[in-house]
Amino acid sequence: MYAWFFRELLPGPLWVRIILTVVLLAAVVYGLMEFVFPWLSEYSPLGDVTLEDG
Amino acid sequence: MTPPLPRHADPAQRSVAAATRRQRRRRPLGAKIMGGFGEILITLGVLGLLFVVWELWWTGIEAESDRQDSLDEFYANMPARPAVSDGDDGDNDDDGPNPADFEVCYTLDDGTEIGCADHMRAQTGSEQIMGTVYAPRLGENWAAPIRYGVSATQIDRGGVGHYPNTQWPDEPGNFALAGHRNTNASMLGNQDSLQIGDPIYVVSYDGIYVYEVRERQVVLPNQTEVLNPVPSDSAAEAEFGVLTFTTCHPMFSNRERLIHHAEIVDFVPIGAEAPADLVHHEPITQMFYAGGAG
Repeated sequence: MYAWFFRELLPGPLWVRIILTVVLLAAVVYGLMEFVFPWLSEYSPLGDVTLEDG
Repeated sequence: MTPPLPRHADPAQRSVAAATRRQRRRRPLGAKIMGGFGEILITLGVLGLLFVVWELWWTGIEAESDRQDSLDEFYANMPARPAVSDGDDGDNDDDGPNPADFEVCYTLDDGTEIGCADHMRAQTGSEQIMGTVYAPRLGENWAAPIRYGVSATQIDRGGVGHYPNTQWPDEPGNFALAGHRNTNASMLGNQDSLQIGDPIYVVSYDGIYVYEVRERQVVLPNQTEVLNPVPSDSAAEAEFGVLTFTTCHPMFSNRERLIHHAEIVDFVPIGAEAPADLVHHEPITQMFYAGGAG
């Protein structure tokens, strides 16, 4: 899957494809950190520090 | 063996070369499916690790900068330190508040007078800082701004939150605070290093409430009795103030809650001598005398 993506889908010579890969990875990680994980954390128990009846 | 292709072959030749490579690497369909499945599993694993990195580290960056901003704001708006008076110049008009005449809300058994927290009680907006809590054991520069409320809006921004249904420092009862253990700058990450007898200072524009750690407890998340005015006895009527820290326990889990109770032992009115533990926080000495003033 990733090998095919790297070989066939990304344009340009090897060094361009390597740079593109790094940029894409950085964009994906940033998106996860800023948008996906904050949303997901509402379901994570670690942030829950309070005491409540229940 | 095919001879090696020239490096700058024309596109047609290159695609032929690519096709040959593909040809060589053709695998059975089953292996392809298993390979793809493996890559999906690896991806999920990496995503899981990234989420842990986010939770434990990334959330702390923003929370720590929020904490610093809140602290700066709390310091910036501090009432000015009262002018030093030699006591017998006859005019007290411009000398600022006299430490002797603060409003007393109640008195401890040993006669210590606890001043009222009128200003603190008014800081209940989501953007307002009620005061700042200092626990020297947790670090020389450890300072947690206090916000009113314990939902994510308050405690995810660094600092600690005050349980709204608990009492205030100027009345007998429980002044309960919550903070994060592992995430969002982990304000109470080291709470377990508190020792019995350690001082805890709640600095507000009303004065400093001084507490001493008395008890450590680990409870279940639904054991709300630790938030009672008298933590050990739900029926008893409180006679003195208690400060309670609550955070997650054990580390990296939220199965239980770590509780530290501290008892109020002193009150330092504005204009009086600041506790020696706090004089290295310069803004505090602007509001309180650092000692030996005059």
